[in-house]
Amino acid sequence: MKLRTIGYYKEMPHGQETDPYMEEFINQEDPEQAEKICNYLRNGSALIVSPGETIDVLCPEKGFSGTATAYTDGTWVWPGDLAYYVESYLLRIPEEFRQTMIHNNWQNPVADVDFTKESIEINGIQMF
Amino acid sequence: MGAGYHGGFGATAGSHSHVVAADSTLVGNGKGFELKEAAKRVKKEKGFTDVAVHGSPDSISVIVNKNGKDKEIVLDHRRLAKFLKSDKGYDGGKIRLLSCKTGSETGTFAQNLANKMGVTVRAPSDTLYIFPSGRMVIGPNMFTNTGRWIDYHPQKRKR
Repeated sequence: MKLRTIGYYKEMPHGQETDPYMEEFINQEDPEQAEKICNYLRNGSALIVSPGETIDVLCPEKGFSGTATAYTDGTWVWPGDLAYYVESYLLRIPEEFRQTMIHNNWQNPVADVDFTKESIEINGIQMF
Repeated sequence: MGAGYHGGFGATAGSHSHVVAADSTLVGNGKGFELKEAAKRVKKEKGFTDVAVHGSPDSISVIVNKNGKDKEIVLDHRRLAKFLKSDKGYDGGKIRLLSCKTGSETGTFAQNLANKMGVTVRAPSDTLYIFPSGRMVIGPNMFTNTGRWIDYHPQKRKR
């Protein structure tokens, strides 16, 4: 299975230098679609589990924002705190990700996949 | 004591902490189910009991899901020690925390737990990532394995 990361931002503790800045996409998501997007994100399959909490990087006083667990829909890999930013700040998700959600009818197509039996490549890197 | 597994504050809506047969799992409600499953795949280390729980340098947390939203309940080392001491799945011996940053050299959680329990506590220095194969990466992200496991031994209280 070949996957690509999406929804990682430089400001996040698990973001990388090559990731975009989150602040550029704040308050740009369609409020009417945000709930559907969050449901999709929260129902992704946990691929790489991270047992730690993350804090709101835009406003640390707000506290808990999720986890760094990597979720997937069989195409993309996103972090466990992405839904928080879409919900709390109307963070606009990349268009290609939205198109995948629409294509999948807003349902996770790999909900029943056992990843222990899969060979996974992320961003061209063989992970397991 | 053999290498056991003990962990996963997490899933099961409306549940309370409870012990699961064979491994003993402290389960909250929310994202813990994923952690519980992931912890089972980790290669055990002889002499250690694994404790899987969401963590940070100074505390651990149970993530509960209320009305579809995840909420964090923060616990200190005393609460975890109390739980472990009363849990059938833990019968003494060293502890390995499958818990992000609890072994961070800037934090206190693992050392405090070691002091409280009187046993060695092994914990990750940075964020922990558990792969489906059971492989673990310690680092700032899942691609960067720059962290390490650190053993914290019980220290006597200074007077």
